[in-house]
Amino acid sequence: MDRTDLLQELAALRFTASLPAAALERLAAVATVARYAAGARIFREGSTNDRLMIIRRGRVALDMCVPGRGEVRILSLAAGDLLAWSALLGAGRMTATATALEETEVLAIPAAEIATACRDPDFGYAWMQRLAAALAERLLATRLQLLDLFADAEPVARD
Amino acid sequence: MKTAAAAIADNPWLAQRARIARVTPEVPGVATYHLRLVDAQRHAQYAFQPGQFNMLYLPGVGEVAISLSAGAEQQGTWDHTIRAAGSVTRALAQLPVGAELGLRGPYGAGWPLTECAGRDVIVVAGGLGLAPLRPAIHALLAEPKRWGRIHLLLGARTADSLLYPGERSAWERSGLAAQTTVDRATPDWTGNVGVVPLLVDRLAGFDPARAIMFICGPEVMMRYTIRSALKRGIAAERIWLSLERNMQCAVGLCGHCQFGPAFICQDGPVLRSDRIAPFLDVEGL
Repeated sequence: MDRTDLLQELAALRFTASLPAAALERLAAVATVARYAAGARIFREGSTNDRLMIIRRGRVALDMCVPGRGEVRILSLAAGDLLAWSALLGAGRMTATATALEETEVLAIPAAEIATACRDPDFGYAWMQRLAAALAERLLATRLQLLDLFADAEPVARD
Repeated sequence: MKTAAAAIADNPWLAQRARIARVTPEVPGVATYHLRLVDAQRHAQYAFQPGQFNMLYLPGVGEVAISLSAGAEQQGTWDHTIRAAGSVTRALAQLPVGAELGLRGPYGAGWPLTECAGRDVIVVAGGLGLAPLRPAIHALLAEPKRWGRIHLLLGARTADSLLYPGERSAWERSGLAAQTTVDRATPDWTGNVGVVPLLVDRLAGFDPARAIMFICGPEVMMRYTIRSALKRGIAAERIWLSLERNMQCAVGLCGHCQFGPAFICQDGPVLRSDRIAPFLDVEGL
């Protein structure tokens, strides 16, 4: 995939679509496409990973290892979702195991390149604003999941 | 002299006799009760709009509002999918096939199917919230050329609590695009994990400018589904939700189900989001 195609991809993906054109240009210059077969491990919990990823196609499961319970699936991600943000914010140590649930393609961006680009205030502000929004959405979804809304939900019968 | 049927038509408080023709266990704690009105003429004449509800009455126990989950065009009965949760529904769950109960209705405003013409329709359900939406899905799939694409986004606590699994496969064969998600995944589950609004965030294959959305599920889920839908560009006046409150008279007299300016039993249970959104955040309402 050449740089023009990458630019178009980034402009269309939910995570990056709202970034300014100059920021997309910088990302397109360093992004590569990585492909994973169904069932392939993208990274393991506790491992070090230096690339931040945006899912282009397919679905990815995130699992955490719980002693006595094994791998517990906590979330699945799909096209447009951000993956492996700990590469940028968590010193590269992954907090979950990511597995491709089906044939999956991601745009992989070296975290070091983003960190360097963030020294430019325009890029840094736009990128971090988008990243914060994505993480806030993830946090909200986690809170809703914690509420366990269906545990006692009775939307059509309450007496 | 008035017939019994005429008396019932004149008096909204009078229940008519209904018999449990069959019971279909759905998911743990939930079953569909297939009801037949004892008066054959009344059974044949009964009609409802998808999204409307009946008051089901058990003498000596009480009355409960239950949305219809299928009409007689499906299996010849008027169906209600019920979780055994309160005193009436628990007593109902003990009744054998052939037992009688009282039924009055249908009541309330249903899903605005006429507004779906030419539009992509996104049906969003959480848990048992799929039950009041099921008749709307039946109606949509009966006339597929009238609408654009039909999406179903369905969430549940676990995979084994996703309602109507066999029927959903048939809906997909009829052209409905379905996505499911669960809050708690078991090791054998390979589907989506996460809350329903995430499915709205990621949904592809619809035109926000001409899409209409129907939502039913826990109120918090509906609130954040509306938020996701608005972010995706769906206009608030094309987002409809089904609300549940303490419905007692079902005819807008007692006021138990008042929600802001609306009586849920009469103005709802299906309401347009922009008309009630300000009240969804009011504590205690």
